[in-house]
Amino acid sequence: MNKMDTIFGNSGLIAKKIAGQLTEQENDLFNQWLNSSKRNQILFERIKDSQNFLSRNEEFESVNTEQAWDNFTRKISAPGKMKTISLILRYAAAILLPLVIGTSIFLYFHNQYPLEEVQVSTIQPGMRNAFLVLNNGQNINLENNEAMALKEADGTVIENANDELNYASQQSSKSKKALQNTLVVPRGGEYSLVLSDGTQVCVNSMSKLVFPVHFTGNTREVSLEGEAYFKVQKDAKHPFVVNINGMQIKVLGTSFNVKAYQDEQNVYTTLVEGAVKISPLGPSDKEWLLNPDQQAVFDKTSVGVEIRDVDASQYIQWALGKYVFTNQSLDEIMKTLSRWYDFTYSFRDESLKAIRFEGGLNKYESIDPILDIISKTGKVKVSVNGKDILFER
Amino acid sequence: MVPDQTLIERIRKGDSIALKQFFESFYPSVYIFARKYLKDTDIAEDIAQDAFVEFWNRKEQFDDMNAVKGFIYTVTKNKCLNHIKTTNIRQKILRNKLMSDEYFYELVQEEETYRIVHSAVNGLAAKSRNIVLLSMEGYKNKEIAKELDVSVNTVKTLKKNAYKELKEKLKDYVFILFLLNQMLG
Repeated sequence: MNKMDTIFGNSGLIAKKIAGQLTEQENDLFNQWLNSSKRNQILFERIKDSQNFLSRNEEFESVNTEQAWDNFTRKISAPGKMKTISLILRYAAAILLPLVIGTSIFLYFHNQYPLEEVQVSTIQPGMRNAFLVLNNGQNINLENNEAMALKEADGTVIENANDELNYASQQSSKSKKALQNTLVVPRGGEYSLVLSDGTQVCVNSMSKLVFPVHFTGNTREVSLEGEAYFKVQKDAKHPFVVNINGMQIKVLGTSFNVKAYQDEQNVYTTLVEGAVKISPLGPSDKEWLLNPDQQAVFDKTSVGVEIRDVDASQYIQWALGKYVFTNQSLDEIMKTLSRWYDFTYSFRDESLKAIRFEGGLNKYESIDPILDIISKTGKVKVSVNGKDILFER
Repeated sequence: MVPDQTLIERIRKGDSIALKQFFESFYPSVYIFARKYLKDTDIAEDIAQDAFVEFWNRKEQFDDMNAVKGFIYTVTKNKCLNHIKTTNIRQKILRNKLMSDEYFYELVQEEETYRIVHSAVNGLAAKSRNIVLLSMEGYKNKEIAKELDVSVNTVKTLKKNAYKELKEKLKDYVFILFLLNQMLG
């Protein structure tokens, strides 16, 4: 069954559902489609939303089809065939082979499943999703990825477009006391934002970033729980500070990743470029300076810091659409993946936790290939039950 | 509404009326689809039109409307992504999302759904159309009656007729569905 045919067929179903025209049999088919993934449910919610539907209708009406038709007829009567032939060949290839190859050029856990196979996998990749808490406590759901502009009480305009919040696009308020906003990213979500100084932050699943709508004073301070990748705008006069439970990271202008989950023993700060200083909070004033491709591992219990050399680019892959694991235990890998794919997991045999793997996957695609590889080692039996994965011998 | 199958046969034979009919019903979706990849409206228009040109240049190779639509959406997507590659998209995450198959399929699913509903509803007589739109928005018969200044019984009758008409217009999709079901079954 061709994926496109399935999609077109489903569109007919959804359209009829919206128009209230489904027969009983079609309704069963529709429910099958709806229940096969969370994304489908979200998609259907969006399509049937009446406000959205009406604005879509308007959008449709506003397209200048007459003008387009004129342009089109001009184009097909113009010469210049040579150019189009090579293009056609390329597109033809894109159509004939598209789904088996997929977007994955990734070598390790190569996706072996052609996408045409209709797989009803209960574990789905996460998506751009978060909510924003304004200074007055008002919660704004950013999940339906509609472009919008919000206004804080002090007049600061917050833009939300293309799944990114932007505090830097407008002249922000000049008031001395800055209002605080919080970006909360749930399990199975990620989001990015541009702070008022132009600093870019990608925030990972199950993370929380507290930041002022504009920076005041001598330092630019934010607080983080969970994981985020920062590309800090250079401003030597106003150091950028990330506050984490138990420690501080001071930055001049640089990019780095911080992983500080509450359910993990360590806080990992990985420097891609520039320089940062790590200072644990406590009686000692000791600071650690990180160079590019170094990682500071802060132990929350002993308040000790260990510096090690790493390939920093591996630690920011999550912000670039991939997960990469270098010599990590099955337990660590699953912990990371479960936040994004939103599943739970358990080990029937504790010793399995320590088995180490190397590899990666495209995070917007199915988790199945990685599970498949794990089970193909023959050391671990993987069974998926709903949203729970059990590992046993 | 002309059945898709006849339409594609006519287009293959070079029937420009059939081509125009197809273009008019499908172009807005393709353009809106392109806009989900590109902010620039001019380039999105250009790309959507070019995708139809690509189809026209190789129309003999298609004998099924789904294949044509799939082709046009895919070409549009590829052209948009190529354009994105030449421009500097700041956000790698955004770029990754745009490049994913998942995103592409979802957009096609959404655009196609809107297109079907839109063309079916727009083919109705004005009065019926209003009633269908209002009830899709969740208005009760009583509220519709008030809105249109007619009796509730009139609304009921008009609604019945409108839905009958709509059912007729959506009939083609039933056919596709049964076919699908058989193939899946």
